[in-house]
Amino acid sequence: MKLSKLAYNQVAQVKAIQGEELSLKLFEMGVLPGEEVELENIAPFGDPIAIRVGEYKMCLRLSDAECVEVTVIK
Amino acid sequence: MKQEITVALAGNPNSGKTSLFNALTGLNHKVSNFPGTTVDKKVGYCKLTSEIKAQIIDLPGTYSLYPKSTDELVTYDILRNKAETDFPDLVLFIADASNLKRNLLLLTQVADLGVPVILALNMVDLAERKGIFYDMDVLSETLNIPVVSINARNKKGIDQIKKLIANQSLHKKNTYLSLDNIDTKLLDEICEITDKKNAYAALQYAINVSSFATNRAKQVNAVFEKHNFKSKNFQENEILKRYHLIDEAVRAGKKERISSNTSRVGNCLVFKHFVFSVSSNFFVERIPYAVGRAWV
Ligand SMILES: Nc1nc2c(ncn2[C@@H]2O[C@H](COP(=O)(O)OP(=O)(O)OP(=O)(O)O)[C@@H](O)[C@H]2O)c(=O)[nH]1
Ligand SMILES: [Mg+2]
Repeated sequence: MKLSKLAYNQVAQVKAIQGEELSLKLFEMGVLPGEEVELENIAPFGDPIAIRVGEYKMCLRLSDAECVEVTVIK
Repeated sequence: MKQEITVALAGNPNSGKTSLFNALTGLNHKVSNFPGTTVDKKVGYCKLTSEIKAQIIDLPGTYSLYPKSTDELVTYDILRNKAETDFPDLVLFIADASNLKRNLLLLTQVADLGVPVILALNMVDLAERKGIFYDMDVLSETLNIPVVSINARNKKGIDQIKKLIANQSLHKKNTYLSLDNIDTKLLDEICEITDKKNAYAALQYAINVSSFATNRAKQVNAVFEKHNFKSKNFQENEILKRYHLIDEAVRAGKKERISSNTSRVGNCLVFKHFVFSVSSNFFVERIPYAVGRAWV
């Protein structure tokens, strides 16, 4: 499933990120394969979204979140 | 022993570098909760002992040594060029303890450039509110560098930092990323073109210039091609390896703190309330940032 489709109260695990530039950028920010992610907040009009990655939070454009493949674990 | 030590303050955006700079130098530069406040380097002085003083350089915050904007470039210029007069003797790295893993990525990169690093663990109050506690001795041991816990805003731990800066016998170079799997011929050629002795510094610099339309970039790209070196693959691998190492250090450095006089239920409620308020704050603060800077 795509990270952009994650609902509140769902916990997922990052599987893969599409695109060389984006995956490098997100890796640097700690969005790594195996890391736990959770939806924290959605901005008005739905973009960007705030997610929790491990123990911290960050914002992500929806278009970037669409490139992150996750598996729901909870 | 040097009488004047040049110290660069490095770290992620919004980790408290300018607050610490002000606490050390007595100057009053702009501190704010908006990441990217410092966009140029600033210099001040700090008396450490009756004989030794430090020149402190406040650098703009960045997440990694592969810059995406010009103010991030300033950080690298001074850290990678040993010929520059203000090449630091020491990097004082400020990390946000509530977000330690991501902060340590840059620390390991900076150390690999061949400059001694000491770690000031800041925002410990925020980490503790999230229920995260660190053992400084274990962190220091696993990362193999001196570590002090500070509160840059309340000026706690400043004397300890000054002592560490003055104690030059503790400043040692450290290597985190092994380049053993990289063709030594490639590394030799890159060191030669970039005129650097440190292989990681040379490679990192070469990767950064390779995307520009300059003669240096052409040279670099020719060497990369000759050795079939894919910079993006290298970078991805580099980041994953660094995080692997950081994960272990952070996990080892975490302390369990069981509260004795509050009931479990009570803790839980407090914690939930906190998470809610933090995430809404976070959101307001970070949106301009995410849109304006991190994703350009
Ligand atoms: N709770 C808490 N807040 C702190 C601490 N240290 C600094 N701050 C606050 O964190 C914010 C950022 O501090 P700065 O010193 O501007 O951070 P910086 O690293 O210089 O930021 P940039 O220059 O934007 O990269 C300010 O609002 C500080 O008051 C700390 O130990 N605990
Ligand atoms: Mg600053």
